[in-house]
Amino acid sequence: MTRLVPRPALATALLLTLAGPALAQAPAASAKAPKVSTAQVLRGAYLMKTSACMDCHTPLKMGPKGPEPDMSRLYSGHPQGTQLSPAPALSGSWMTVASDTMTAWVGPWGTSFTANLTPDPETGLGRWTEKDFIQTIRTGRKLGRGREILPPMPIPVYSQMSDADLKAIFAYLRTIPAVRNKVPEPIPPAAAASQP
Amino acid sequence: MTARRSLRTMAGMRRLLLLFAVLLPTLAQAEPPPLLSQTGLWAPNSQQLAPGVRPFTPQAVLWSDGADKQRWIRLPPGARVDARKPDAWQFPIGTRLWKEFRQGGVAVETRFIERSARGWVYASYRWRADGRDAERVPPQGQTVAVAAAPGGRYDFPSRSDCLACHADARSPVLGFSALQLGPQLPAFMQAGLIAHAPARWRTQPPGVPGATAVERAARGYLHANCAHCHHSGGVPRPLRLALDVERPAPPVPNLEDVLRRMGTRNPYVQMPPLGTRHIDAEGLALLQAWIAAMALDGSSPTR
Repeated sequence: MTRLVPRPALATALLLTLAGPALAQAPAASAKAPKVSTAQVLRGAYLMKTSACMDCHTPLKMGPKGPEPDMSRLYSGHPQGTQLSPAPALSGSWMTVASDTMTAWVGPWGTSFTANLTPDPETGLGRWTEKDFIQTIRTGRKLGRGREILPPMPIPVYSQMSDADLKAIFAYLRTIPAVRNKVPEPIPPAAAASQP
Repeated sequence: MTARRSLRTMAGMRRLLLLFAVLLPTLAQAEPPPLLSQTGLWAPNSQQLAPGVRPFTPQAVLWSDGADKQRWIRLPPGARVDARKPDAWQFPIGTRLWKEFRQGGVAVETRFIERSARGWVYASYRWRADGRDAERVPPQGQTVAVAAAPGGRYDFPSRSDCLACHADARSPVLGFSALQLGPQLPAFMQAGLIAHAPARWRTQPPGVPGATAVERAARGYLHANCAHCHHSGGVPRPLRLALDVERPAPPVPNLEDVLRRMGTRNPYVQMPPLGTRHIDAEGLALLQAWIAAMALDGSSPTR
């Protein structure tokens, strides 16, 4: 296994291999990057693809064949400033509804917006350490100690991943383009929101 | 291999037995006792403090929805707190601390932390209605009706709630530090409980930095309520609210954002994120007074 420190050029080359030319538009953040191996990054990319991360963390846009992931916003979460119409009232057997971007979700917990997983330091995971990431997924609380991660994030599934897999995912996430996108804060259910 | 060889000789057997004798109590103490009366807070068959248990009061307190709180510490006989790292004191194995929460004058909860050989152990005890003892709350926490509590309900923290504030702080003990003890520090030094502390603290204990009483109170408030996460090695947010002993105060933060989060109990936005369901009106007023004072003297409160 080759050990290397990802440099922007190397990371970009890797990115081209992994996801195609559409992604090679911004240099990957390399600040504070620990030593990772190519195999680790490839494993992380594979896990992200096969664990349905794209479904919610890359917004959908309307393409010629219908909704498709907006690859210019790869893993950058719910797009900032999106104007959402009011969610339909849920009653009876109906519990959850998602926006047309698949990045805003309404349910008994209120409204949640999918997170920006890119290495942008202000709005993404740029300041997170590998430990912060692992602890978040492992415990279902931000950084392992903050607020709970809201549905529909399948924490009960991903919390069972091995440390090696979570490290691989985090290593891969460091190589993707940083997208500056401040995801809105969640909105509590109407009952909780009416309290001071 | 070593174990097999040891078993062949009596001396080896004795060594193995000794090892078990040392290890077993260590393993046994991983779980806190089921009753508060078994934690060593009180002398047997009483609610008088046990010998060696000492009260202390932090200079700035964490807002706990208006609960009245009392705190105690007990160090093992002869053991001392290591103050070499002034903002991250090291506590000896066997250190125990308690914090009692009262609502409407009645004890509702006592929290207990202990440094065992395997690390820090956390527990919450719920007082019985007769006030004779308190029972350990399950690790997942509990929410119960308490008439005297604000809103009529009371939350006992889960174990992960305990870890949320204590585990990644500079020291898991949040209220017993040089800065928080302040004027009480000389007495603890005099009693021989603090090792490696600068001798000057016996006459000049450290205080909260700040040019005015309002600034000192506001910075102390932010330290007590936010520093366990917002220290330089804490959450990856560029917001540092922790104070360092005998160091200049950090730059004034973006207080508008701090006030916005302090001033809501939207569970997804509020700060602190846990341990409170009601806004601290006095705390808010204190920070607003600091902002007003800075605006008056032109020292630019926010970015």
